[in-house]
Amino acid sequence: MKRPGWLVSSPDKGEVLDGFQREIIELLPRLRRMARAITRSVADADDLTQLTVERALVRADQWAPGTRLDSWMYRIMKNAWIDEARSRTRQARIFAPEEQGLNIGADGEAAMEAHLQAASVAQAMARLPDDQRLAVALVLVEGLSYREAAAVLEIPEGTLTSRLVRGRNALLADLRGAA
Amino acid sequence: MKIDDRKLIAYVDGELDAFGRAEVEAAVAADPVLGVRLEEHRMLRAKVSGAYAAVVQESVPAQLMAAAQAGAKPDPNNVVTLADRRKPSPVVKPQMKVSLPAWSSAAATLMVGVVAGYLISQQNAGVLAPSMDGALVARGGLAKALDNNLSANSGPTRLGISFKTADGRYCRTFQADAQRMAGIACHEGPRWIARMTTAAPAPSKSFDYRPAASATAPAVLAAVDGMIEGDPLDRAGEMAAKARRWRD
Repeated sequence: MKRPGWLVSSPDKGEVLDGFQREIIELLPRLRRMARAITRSVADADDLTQLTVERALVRADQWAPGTRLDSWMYRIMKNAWIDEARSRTRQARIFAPEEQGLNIGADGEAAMEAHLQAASVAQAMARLPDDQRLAVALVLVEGLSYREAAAVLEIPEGTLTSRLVRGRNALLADLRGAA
Repeated sequence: MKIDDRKLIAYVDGELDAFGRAEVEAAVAADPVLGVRLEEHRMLRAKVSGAYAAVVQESVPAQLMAAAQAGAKPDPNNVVTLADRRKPSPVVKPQMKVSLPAWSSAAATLMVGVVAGYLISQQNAGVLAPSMDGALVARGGLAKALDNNLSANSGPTRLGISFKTADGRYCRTFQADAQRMAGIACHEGPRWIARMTTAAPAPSKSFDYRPAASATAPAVLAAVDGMIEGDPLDRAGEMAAKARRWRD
């Protein structure tokens, strides 16, 4: 696990972070991953993550301690993304999903292969409707259970599973075509 | 017993109880086509989760860190709405938007840094020295490196990030290993003035990823976040700025 210690603590800043913020900081890598799965570019993903963090800090008093902070933040992210999607005019534009900055440590063949595969997955994900992509991202990328994912999306479990079925069949068809 | 996609996928996702699992396994054993379908869904789950797995190992961008570390008690007038974020460039550019608390903590860091920098400079008059007007001016090897070197991860004085501030000055992060010092210097008039300094960690081989920025101390990165306007200069930008002697 390559994660420099300063990512989770910040002694140099000489400021005391409260426990809530500390937990948010620990969640940042996962929030970025979720954002990467639902947006189309690294820049959008980090924008969305930042917006999520800002909203979470503002609404800190709405989080019930003892409940899962990750689910709460995924929900904030989902809402931010949906707000964004509603007013977005960019859907009209045709974007080839930007090369996702998935890290390739060394440029060996295996790494290149993995990168290409990741890129084709990202493209297929980008072609899914938002509701299916959110469901797939929470369950397949973030590993949430159906119950947790349904709670994040504020939908019944049955709705979640139909989105998962449709989303996954679309991905299968898409990736089969690409292969 | 008919096994539909919903059930097959629930099996792959580990959502079935023992009875449901047995049902699927029996059906798959009896029907090779269903077996292929199951395998496809298994592979898909692995592919999709694998495609994003590396993200959690990336360094978190400094700007995002700063947002998470921003003052816990937000100013209600400073709530960033999506509309705000959307205004200047809705799509591509990550905005260097720093909320007020982040600014204030950056300012605090800066103050501490300047004092520390002054003390450091007493022992290392070689690289930074207070001038008549009280500004901490880069000298010697540091001044030369700031003038001439492009960002690189090696050498006794390393330059990390070059950027422009809102008031149009060029600033650069530096790390002087011999002096165990890192900071930010901005070009003002003919001089490079240290805007903040901090004790640098002992030279390390490297952090992973982000070749130029990775070696930059977090306190310096946080301060950059508070000062930068737009994106850091890329190589071409640095060369152009250097050619103009870091003036506009």
